[in-house]
Amino acid sequence: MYFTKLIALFFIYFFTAKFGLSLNAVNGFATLVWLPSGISLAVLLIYGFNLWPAITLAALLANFQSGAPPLATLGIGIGNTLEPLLGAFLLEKFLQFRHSLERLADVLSLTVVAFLSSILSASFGVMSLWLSGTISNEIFPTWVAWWIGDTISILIVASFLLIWSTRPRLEFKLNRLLEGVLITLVLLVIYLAIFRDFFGLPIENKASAYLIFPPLIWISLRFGQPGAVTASLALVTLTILSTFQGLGPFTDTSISSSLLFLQIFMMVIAITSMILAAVVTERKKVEKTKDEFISIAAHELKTPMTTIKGYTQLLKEYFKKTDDTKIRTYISKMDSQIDNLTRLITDFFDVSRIQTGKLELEKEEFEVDSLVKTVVEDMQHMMLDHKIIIIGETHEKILADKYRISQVLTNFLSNAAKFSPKADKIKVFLSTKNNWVTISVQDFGIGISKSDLKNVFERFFQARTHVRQSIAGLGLGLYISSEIIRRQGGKISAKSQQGKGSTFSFSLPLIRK
Amino acid sequence: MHKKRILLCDDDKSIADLVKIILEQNHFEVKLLFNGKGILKRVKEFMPGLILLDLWMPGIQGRDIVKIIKADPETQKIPIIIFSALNEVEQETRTSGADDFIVKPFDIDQLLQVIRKYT
Repeated sequence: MYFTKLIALFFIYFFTAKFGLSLNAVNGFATLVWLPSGISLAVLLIYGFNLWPAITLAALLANFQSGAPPLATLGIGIGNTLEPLLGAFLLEKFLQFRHSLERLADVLSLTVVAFLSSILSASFGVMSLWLSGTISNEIFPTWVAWWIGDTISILIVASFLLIWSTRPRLEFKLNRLLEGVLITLVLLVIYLAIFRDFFGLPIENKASAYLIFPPLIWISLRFGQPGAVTASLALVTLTILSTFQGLGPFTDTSISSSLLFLQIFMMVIAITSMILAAVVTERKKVEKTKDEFISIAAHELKTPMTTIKGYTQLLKEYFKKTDDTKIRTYISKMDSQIDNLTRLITDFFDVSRIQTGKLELEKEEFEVDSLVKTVVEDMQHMMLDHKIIIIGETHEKILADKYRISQVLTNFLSNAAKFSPKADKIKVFLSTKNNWVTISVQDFGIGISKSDLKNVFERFFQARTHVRQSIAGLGLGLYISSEIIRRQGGKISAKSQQGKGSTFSFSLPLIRK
Repeated sequence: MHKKRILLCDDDKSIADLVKIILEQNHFEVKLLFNGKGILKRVKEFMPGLILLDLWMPGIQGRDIVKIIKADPETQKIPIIIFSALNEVEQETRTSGADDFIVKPFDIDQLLQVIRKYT
């Protein structure tokens, strides 16, 4: 296995090196289209540092074949070997580098390493060529070209190889596919317009190249690192091509200077898109962790609650036949407070889910009338002081989250009972009109003031009433209910008259036939 | 299949003990398991009339346990009731193929009502 990889790396390095050197290198050896730096760094990181001999051999051979004298070849070979070795070493041993470039730290590490290791290679190379007398003028431009060429290679080619080596999971949903195709087309059109003078637009100013940023930013934000590095690689390839053909805003007096400007531009593109993608990915991870925490916390809180409630009820049963009313009362109060606490926990976590946008609604078709009947029956069991009367029938089905709709109705009914302690009935009205079904819950209690009515569906809102002290709650029930109804395309509203009572209603669209 | 036998699988010992007390008071024979390891074997040994299964446990998950039990011809007729504190217990019940569910914390009467439906 080792030898296969060694040989493969040798050939890949050799041929890409030859290719790069043949493309109008500065002073014969400093090429701006240099794939080997990125490839060698990525390969060493992915497959192991011990593959370095392939790099040395290939570099020696390629440069020798291109006309470098023996000592210079040796110097270049050493520089080319040390470059990926130093880079890989720094990344893996010092910087805890992750190949997926998922974190901002990883992107910054790669950038710094790219710059540093290229300096090494460029210095070795240019020094060797100068000392051997192969080059005698334009030393600095040669060095710069060498340095930038290697840096770009690492930033674009190495990142591409590293990210895809982690086998990122791709979502193949239709929407995402369409979005990907669309944004690629946009990118392509801009490329054609600016870098190929395709549409005949008079674009000579180099600044116009920055029009490439919006689609690239979109890709980085929406498709993460895989999208960012693929787009960068594609763009670099295409723009180098068109610059060689004398097209586009970077065309300058010579190919070398054209490429120099282009490569600096590409560096900015590559670094920006990778940084954006990393930040977005990190954020998504935090959201996911938050969400998992919420689910686990909710589950963990309910577990001891289950035990407490169970034993409380066993106690209740046990003392049912006793004459000691105090015991029965105390236990009864404990039981109802446990219910309260459970409801608070559930409400709290529902709200957290709504806040993080994670409240999932599962839609199914069900009959309105039978749902209302079931909920009313269940609630009637617990509400012994009020008689719940259902008025009207719909004979209709709706498409909605059954569990959540019953949660809303339950919330309305329990509020109705809470806020009408002296009344003895609650009315539930069912009606349909114009493809909407409306369920209203009317109580005959204290009512809500006009000013409170405006805010009644807001989070943490509790009506200013002297009765409030005995009514526990975070003020979340109506907020959750309104979110549930609105999310399903429905409407929610409240009417009230102080001293006479309130009516809370929600409407949902019927299934269109 | 013994109608009055119930197998309860829940990793929380205090809940398991509590439910055992409640069910035994109501004349059921109860066997407790605290995780899903080797559950199919235990089910075949015990042949309960009903299985009460917690969803979220260490090791093998409740959802997968349902699949295993329903896949075996010897045990597939045994009704499985999902017993969970998760908000999505109703959805999980449907998607996993279980027969019914009980939400934690539960009312003792509710618990007995659902159990009596299947035994």
